[in-house]
Amino acid sequence: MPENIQGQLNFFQRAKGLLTDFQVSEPASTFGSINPPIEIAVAPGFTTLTSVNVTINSQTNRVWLNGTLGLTAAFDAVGVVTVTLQLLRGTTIIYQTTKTISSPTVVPATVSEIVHLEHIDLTAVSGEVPVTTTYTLRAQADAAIVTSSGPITLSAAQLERNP
Amino acid sequence: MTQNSQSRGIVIPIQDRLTEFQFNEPISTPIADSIPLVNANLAEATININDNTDRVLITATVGWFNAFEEAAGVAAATFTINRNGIPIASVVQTVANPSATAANIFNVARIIFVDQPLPEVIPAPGSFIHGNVQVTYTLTADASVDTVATTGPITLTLSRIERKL
Repeated sequence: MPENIQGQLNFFQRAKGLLTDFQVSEPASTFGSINPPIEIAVAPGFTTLTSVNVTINSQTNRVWLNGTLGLTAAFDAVGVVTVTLQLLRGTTIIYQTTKTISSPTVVPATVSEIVHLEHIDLTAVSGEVPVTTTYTLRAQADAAIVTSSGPITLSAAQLERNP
Repeated sequence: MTQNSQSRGIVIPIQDRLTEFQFNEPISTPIADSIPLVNANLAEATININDNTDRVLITATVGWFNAFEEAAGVAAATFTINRNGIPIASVVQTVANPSATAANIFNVARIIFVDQPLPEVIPAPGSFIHGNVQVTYTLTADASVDTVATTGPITLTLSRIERKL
């Protein structure tokens, strides 16, 4: 088949989009917009920051989760604090990452950082569909000096299987 | 996205669609045995390109750390996206231990990159691709010291964004 004919055929083909649902929870989009800031719990506790609900339409769908979180630690002196961040499907931990915030100065200092989480959930449902699944972003610190005043974003993109 | 151009009395729909999604997430929750980041291959995924105007949205997210001994210091890690083995995007990130206390200092690296116009898979200007052309993307890492490592998470995604006029 001549190339120009193939090209004309391609011109009329409409590839099917896979993104069928996009849910987002963004309780804060700028730093400082949560006042007073949310205190991050110390282990073994966790602080729930936000959640989204996704209605899964097929067992073969994937859910692409992205989370972004601003964190601030108030140090009295030189030190470090470690924050554990998790994504949950219902009550099941499906993703976990860790962020350390540190201060190099002997005088009191406030140190801010940003952290990103990204996970693809392949096993969103195992039974009948449609079913609504809740995804939650939560955090825990190893010292009671960490807060979040934003931004906090959690998005869930439902993608059909590849053609 | 759909746009309508009616400046000349005609309607031209422009559609950008996510038409293929590939990913590799070898670690989603921390593993027991750490993986050193010096000259490391972290993730790999392959996607099909079938049109000259296709673009690939690439995202990568890596949790990593350095195990500092009893000294203050700084360690660096470089994360690179490669297309068919050729570097096309990278970031450098550091972690710092502020005191002489031994500590694991953690950080999270994030890369977002749109690969276009995919010169390796476009045969020639004005020509058309016949069928699918597979393109492999890898996420690699390197580090300033051999105590830099990861226990996860490691996520690499590829989204083909297809444009049809």
